[in-house]
Amino acid sequence: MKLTIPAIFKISLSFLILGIFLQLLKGAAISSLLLMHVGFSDIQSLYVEKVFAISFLVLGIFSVWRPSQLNLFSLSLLILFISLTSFFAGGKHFSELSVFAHFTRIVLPLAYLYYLRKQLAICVWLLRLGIAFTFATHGWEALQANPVFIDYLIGFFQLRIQEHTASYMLIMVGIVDIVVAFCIWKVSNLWAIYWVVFWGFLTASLRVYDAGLENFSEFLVRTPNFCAGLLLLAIVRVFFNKSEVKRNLKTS
Amino acid sequence: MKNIVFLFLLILLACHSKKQAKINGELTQKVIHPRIYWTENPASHAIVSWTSLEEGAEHKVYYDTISHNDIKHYSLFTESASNGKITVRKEDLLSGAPSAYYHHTELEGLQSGKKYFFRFCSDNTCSPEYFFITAERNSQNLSVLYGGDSRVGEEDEEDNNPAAHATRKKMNKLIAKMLVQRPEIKALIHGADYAMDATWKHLYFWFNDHELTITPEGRVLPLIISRGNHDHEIGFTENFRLGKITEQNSDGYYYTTRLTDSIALITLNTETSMAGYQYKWLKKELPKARAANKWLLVQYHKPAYPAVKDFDREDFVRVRKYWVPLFEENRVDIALESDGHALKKTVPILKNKPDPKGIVYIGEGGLGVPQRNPHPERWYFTNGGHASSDHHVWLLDIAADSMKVKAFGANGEQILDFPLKSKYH
Repeated sequence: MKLTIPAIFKISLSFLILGIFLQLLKGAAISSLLLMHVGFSDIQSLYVEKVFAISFLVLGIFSVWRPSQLNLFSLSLLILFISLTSFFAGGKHFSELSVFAHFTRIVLPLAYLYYLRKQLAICVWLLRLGIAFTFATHGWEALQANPVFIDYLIGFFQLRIQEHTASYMLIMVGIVDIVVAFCIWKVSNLWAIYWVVFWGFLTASLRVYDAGLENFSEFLVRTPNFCAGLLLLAIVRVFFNKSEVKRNLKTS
Repeated sequence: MKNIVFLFLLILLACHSKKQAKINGELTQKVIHPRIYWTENPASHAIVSWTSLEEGAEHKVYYDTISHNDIKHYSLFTESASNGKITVRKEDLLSGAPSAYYHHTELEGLQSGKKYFFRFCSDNTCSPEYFFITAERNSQNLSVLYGGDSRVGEEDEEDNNPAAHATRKKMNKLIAKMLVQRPEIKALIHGADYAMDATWKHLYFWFNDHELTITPEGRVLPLIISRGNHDHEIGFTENFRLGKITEQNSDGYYYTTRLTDSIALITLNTETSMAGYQYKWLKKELPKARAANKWLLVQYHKPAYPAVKDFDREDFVRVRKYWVPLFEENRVDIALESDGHALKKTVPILKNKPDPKGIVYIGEGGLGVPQRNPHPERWYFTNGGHASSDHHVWLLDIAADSMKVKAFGANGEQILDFPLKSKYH
């Protein structure tokens, strides 16, 4: 298959939908909220979550197979809803920032919708918005020394680095993430987009490297983090000539 | 006529007594939430903590090995080491939790295995007299309770406040009852996730409910606490302050409690880096603790061998990857875990396989939190393991060479019972 822009959209959406579906099947924030706040029994709450997971998968398949305004918009709303449930359920480091951290996931179906409508400026704007929020949020978490990130780094270096070294590295990572978020949002910089693709892929892969292949759904749900950059790059390269790239990145 | 006057006087006296009781009630209500925390040396040290509704200038704990009616007669007193305003938001006040202040007082130089009577005072307002018993250094026997996850439960019918919970109250009353029936119980090891989150609207009601663990005679059961994934907010460090343990190594809350000269409990923190400072500390601490103790217990919140949640979840994988090999290398006797909202006991596990020489993992949390349905079909629960959906508290009866481990349900019924041999040699 030729790696066209619609193909990248379809692949990243498919990975995202599959990843979310698998996470919902394992038990996620929806069932936790129903059990803890609404008063459902465990069986009821898991049943509702499974029904939701299957409905989400069906909608997702339709969105990729027969994309339309209704199903892509609904998909985006459902992903926003899932992020909100993480926010309300809590129990994870920085869960209060989950909507911002998940922004590339939330905007991806909408960006596809506007791409199909040939409203490229809005499509590019949405992708930039998603990347900027996701990177800025992760940058903030890194600056706050998220212990999960510290363990990724120590695990990546096979326990050869100390916690304080990992903390210093996280400060660097945090600053770079926030600078990249700013560059994507405010400044026309192709290198920032290259970095988004590289770093988004690396950090998504780290989840599997750290906790094993069984955790591949963690990689799948983070596909938009690097695919959004890839799409941004492809759109500006395909649709605009070199001199227009800068101008369109600035004006879109 | 005489009778009428007498009756009138009686009514007057009754009204006066009632009014006086109310005044006294208001006075004592200004200092609330008594609790004791045990940290590293519970034979000689304890932290007395409470909440005051007014800021006050002087906060002290008066204590003695004999009971007194008057505050002036206590032979010892210590000023509170840590005081401050509890972080309170508008929504906390709307939930009915008042503005309040925390106080933590470290009692040092206590005598081992002694009953200590104490009263805590903020300015001139003092609590009623309570007592606790310090850990017994020379004893080979010890009884402790273990449980976790006491957050959201069924709505309380009495005050219709969703933050106050019927099941949690029931479990706390059960703990008090067990303490009366078995006064040899020394402490409650808490596997964390105390309230829905560590904001004041939840913690205020948690501390209210925790008072139900106090026996009618005023015995307070010391807590040995860990930190869970619903204890991230600042309210946790304000209200569950463990002195230097709270401050050290970025997020603290990992330490060794010398329960007796031959029994140690290592508390770990799954909410900070597991591979960083804590890992280095554990690597050094475990061999020392193993060599010096006949019994070595570990507790932490997120499980290595979950009963409910996905086995491959990355935080559980991390516990197995970094900590479990150290537990196995140092022949830990038993691991206490929470988080899942179920009752579990694994078969002995060594190198991720059933092995009679391995470690038994118990717990998963049932001090009031709604119970989930576990997976009894998982390999570590078949052929001798157990996984069910039951509110519970564990009783560990430790003797010189053997330990009896029992789980009791919310009505005090015994659900599980198994013996354990020490791995010390």
